[in-house]
Amino acid sequence: MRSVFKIFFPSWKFFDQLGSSPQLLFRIKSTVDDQFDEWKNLTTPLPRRLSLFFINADGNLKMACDNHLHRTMIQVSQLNLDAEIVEASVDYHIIKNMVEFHLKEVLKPSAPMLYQFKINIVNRSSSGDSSNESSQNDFLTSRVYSL
Amino acid sequence: MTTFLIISPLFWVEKLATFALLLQTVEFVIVRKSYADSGIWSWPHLVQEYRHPLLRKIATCLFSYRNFLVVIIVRGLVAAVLLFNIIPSSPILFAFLLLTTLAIMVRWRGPFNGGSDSMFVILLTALLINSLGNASDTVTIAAAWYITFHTCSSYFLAGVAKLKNPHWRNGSLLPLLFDTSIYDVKSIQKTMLNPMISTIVSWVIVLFEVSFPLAILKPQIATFYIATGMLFHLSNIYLFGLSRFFWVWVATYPALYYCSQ
Repeated sequence: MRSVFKIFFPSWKFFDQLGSSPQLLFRIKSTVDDQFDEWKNLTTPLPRRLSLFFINADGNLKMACDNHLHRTMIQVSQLNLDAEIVEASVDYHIIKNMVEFHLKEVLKPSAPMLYQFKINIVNRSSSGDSSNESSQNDFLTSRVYSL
Repeated sequence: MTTFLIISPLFWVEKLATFALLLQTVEFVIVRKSYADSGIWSWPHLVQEYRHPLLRKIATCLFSYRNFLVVIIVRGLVAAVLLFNIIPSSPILFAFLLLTTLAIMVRWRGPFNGGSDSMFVILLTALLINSLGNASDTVTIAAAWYITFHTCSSYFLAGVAKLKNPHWRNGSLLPLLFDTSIYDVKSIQKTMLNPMISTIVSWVIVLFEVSFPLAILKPQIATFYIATGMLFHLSNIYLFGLSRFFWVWVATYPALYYCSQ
């Protein structure tokens, strides 16, 4: 609710800083005894079309998901919350839903599966020349869920 | 053009804002699965935040999937009614658009599309104030200046924030921005890794944003900034997919042009 009121007092800062940004990854397996696949990025770059000038539904949805991840990352780090509190939060459920939504919509599994997700923090740094660097570290790893 | 805008300074603001709202409605309908009960922002999860029983009941009336979809569609219809002059503008219609816009943000627990939502609220507030003024020139002018103030400050403050950052000043931050794009922009990012190109582009963006308030001095200057602003937002659509920003900011330009006269 507080973030809705902020709408009346926008800070008007766009792309002024580029520090850490979250990245949502997932991995799947068919049964408990199987090995998990490799971690994969939940989202891949979208195709660009002329019609997106008017209607960019998927793009705006992706940005809304990214914004949610970013907000959650900031809240969790600032409040230094325990894993149990994070897991019980609505923010966490929304992220879990993002993963499930993607698995159902994109992978369309025909049989039950197990999945796990994690949030990586990508730290981008600019060194002043052309050698921009980025590093990643694990921020949050979920337990294993079934779908 | 000047005469046309003098007749009704907020006429084109209203048309462009309602057009933007129609586009948003289509987008929200397309992504409806994302806020269905099995979606990402599913109401059975979101409702947990409403602890008071009465509040929970009211929120469910408004935000449960089907009801929320109805709100979005009715909001789109109201926008169409205003866009095509089916019935004359009235404070009730603008109040409805403003309240439903805020309701959508409550449902999404904050802005759906960042700063574009903020500017949209500002536009709708100005249009509501204007419609309450019973065609009074003073109210219309005040509403136009309210929009113009926020348009100018949006660019100016964004520019100042960039100017304060040494990585913007030396151009090293610009190539990194492309990592945040929803598209594959590797080839453009590669071009921007050239320090000279990225420094020049960074300074062009910063100077454009910081100097934007000069647009209110003269209509000719305003025309220059409006044209440059449109190019700027078009490139943001191409590079980052920020289509909502284009339509919302373009909707503010008629007020800016009016205030420059």
